[in-house]
Amino acid sequence: MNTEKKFKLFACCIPVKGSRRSTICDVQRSEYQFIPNILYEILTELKDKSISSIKAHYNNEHDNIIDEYFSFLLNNEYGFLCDNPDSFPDIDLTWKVPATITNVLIDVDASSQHDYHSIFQQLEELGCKAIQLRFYTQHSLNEVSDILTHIQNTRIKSIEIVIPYKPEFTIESLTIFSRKHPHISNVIIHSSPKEEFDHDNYNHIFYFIETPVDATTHCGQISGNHFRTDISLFTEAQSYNTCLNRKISVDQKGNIKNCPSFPNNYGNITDTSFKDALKHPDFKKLWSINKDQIHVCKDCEFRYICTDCRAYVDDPKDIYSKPLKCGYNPYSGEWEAWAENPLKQKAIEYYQLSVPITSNK
Amino acid sequence: MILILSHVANEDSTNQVIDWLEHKNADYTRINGNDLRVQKIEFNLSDSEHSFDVELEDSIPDLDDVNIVWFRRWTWNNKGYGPQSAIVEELKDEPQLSTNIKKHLNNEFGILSGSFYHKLSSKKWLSHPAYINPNKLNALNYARRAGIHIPPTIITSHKEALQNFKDKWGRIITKPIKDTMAFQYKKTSSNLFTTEVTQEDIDKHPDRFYPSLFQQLIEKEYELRVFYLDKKFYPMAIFSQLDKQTEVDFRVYNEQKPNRNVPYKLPEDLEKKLILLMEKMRCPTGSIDILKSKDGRYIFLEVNPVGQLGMTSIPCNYQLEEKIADYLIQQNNEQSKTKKPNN
Repeated sequence: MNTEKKFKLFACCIPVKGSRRSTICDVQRSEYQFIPNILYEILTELKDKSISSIKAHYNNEHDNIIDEYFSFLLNNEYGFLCDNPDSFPDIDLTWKVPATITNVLIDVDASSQHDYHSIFQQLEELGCKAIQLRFYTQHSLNEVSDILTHIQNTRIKSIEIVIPYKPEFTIESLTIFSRKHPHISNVIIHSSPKEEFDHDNYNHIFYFIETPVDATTHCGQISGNHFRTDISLFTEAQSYNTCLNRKISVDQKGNIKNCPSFPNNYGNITDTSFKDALKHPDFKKLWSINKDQIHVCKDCEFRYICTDCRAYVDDPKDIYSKPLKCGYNPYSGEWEAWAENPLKQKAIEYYQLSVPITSNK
Repeated sequence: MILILSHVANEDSTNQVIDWLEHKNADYTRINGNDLRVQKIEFNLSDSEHSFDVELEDSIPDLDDVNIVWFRRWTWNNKGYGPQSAIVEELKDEPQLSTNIKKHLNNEFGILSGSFYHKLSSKKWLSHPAYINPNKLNALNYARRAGIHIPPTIITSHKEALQNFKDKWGRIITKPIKDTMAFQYKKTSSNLFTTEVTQEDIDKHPDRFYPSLFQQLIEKEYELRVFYLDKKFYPMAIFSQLDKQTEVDFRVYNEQKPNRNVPYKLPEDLEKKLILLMEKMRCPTGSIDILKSKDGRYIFLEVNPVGQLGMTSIPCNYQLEEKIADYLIQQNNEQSKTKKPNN
């Protein structure tokens, strides 16, 4: 290693400092790597120094460790040695999309009377590309098909369907169904007799899960499985809420909300357009609550690759408090079962959550 | 009005620019190449008249209203030949006749497209179709004249010249004079990527061969893919030399472990020279390929006037689709202010 050179992280490998440890978020290869906070300091505060002057900065007392760090970073392609670091600017982390609304969640049960034609026409005008349809009661594939016909000739690109199990739901029937509706990205069948995962040859993914999804209270789980290390989430997380930003929801009664889990609504689709609901001064308020403003999250090394939840929080009176259903403690670097945390019991009671026996770790 | 000339298949970039135009309430119309075949069209030319009307599914655009044309590929899709597809289908057992008919229809379409562009010749174009397939050798020559380094290049048909070239420049590569092409053979497919030519390869060759292009193999520190729009540069460095698979040609993608692609800043004097080059080639936009050699030189390889945007836009978060939309909107406003009466 030529220690007169400077070490430069690839711009897509972005260091994020946590309280106890830090991460390098590799937004190109969709991975993250833990690093000690001292290495974070070297990579940020001392980034303009050559390796030999970094060693000198620590009085040459830790040369071996510093060599180890840089060998590790070079071998794993997190960065490179160069003389001209100024030729390699950082990625501009501004998040931009050509849409007023980027994603929508529509809840449906047996009593729902949604005017789907009007819903999807309005979403088209708002530039919406992603839809989740969440069914709480049993519906046949034909019924779902009828709903999806209203999406034809729109620019909607991705549809996720969450629906309770029926015996007619087989890989074969789902494949035929998804081919009819090419924008389907995945189908999640809940309350299934067994857990199963499959896909067809057209990139449609089918999940069968045993857990029932029978109420909005199932939402809001924070878990390492939901982390997504990609440039679009990472940039959005810099300035916006990673769950609610540019989201609109319709609950099973047709009420327009930020998320169906919230008690308050901004009118009903029978008498209020999405555009009018968006005009309400409070509707967009939650969009810009990013992790840097949320207690605890702001000290977490996962904060730009994580989802969020504002509907269930540790302190229901403080919209800036930590997601209730997160069991990670950035001060110890450890995960625990959130539902067993004595400090969370009040909030769990407040939201009347029925907590699964083993809450997500 | 902004007029977008494009085609139906695989045009994500076009669609994304259109999303921005929609979002910004811009006045635009898209015509796909195939529309000239399958929609109602009328081209009138007489002593007193020169008109070209295309009736789209939902509108009849008034071409006089067009201020800027964005040319973004213009082919018919291969799904059919419009009203003629039935004939081609009927003749599928007569391969020669059906090939002749297809060729004839394609030729007719080519001239018709040409007259369509001609009708729009007084407009401002973001890439005129006449300049979207530049001769790569001329491009090298223009670059050289603009003061930009180029790889030593030879096109030859005889072994002795090739041998002399190799003796002079050391390691050499070969690549197509024009574009890379995929060759399908018995269910396998292979591409003409840039490949090193060794002494053994030369020894195996006969004295005479089909004229082929050879260049010095320049050891690179990294490659640059530079998106260019209206005198502004959006460069991306590709660390293809870190991976044996992509060392000679980054297009031999490693899907498991993609090359590192990061934003880059070009030196200002190189930018000035590249602007001269792009103006000479009449390309208001394009993707420029450059090597940064181990000895510190920037070496120009080629320009693709209608390159993929996503490849640079996403990893560097350059938002190129919005930049193009903004350029089109700005040109639309400027041109409509200075509009001359159309004839």
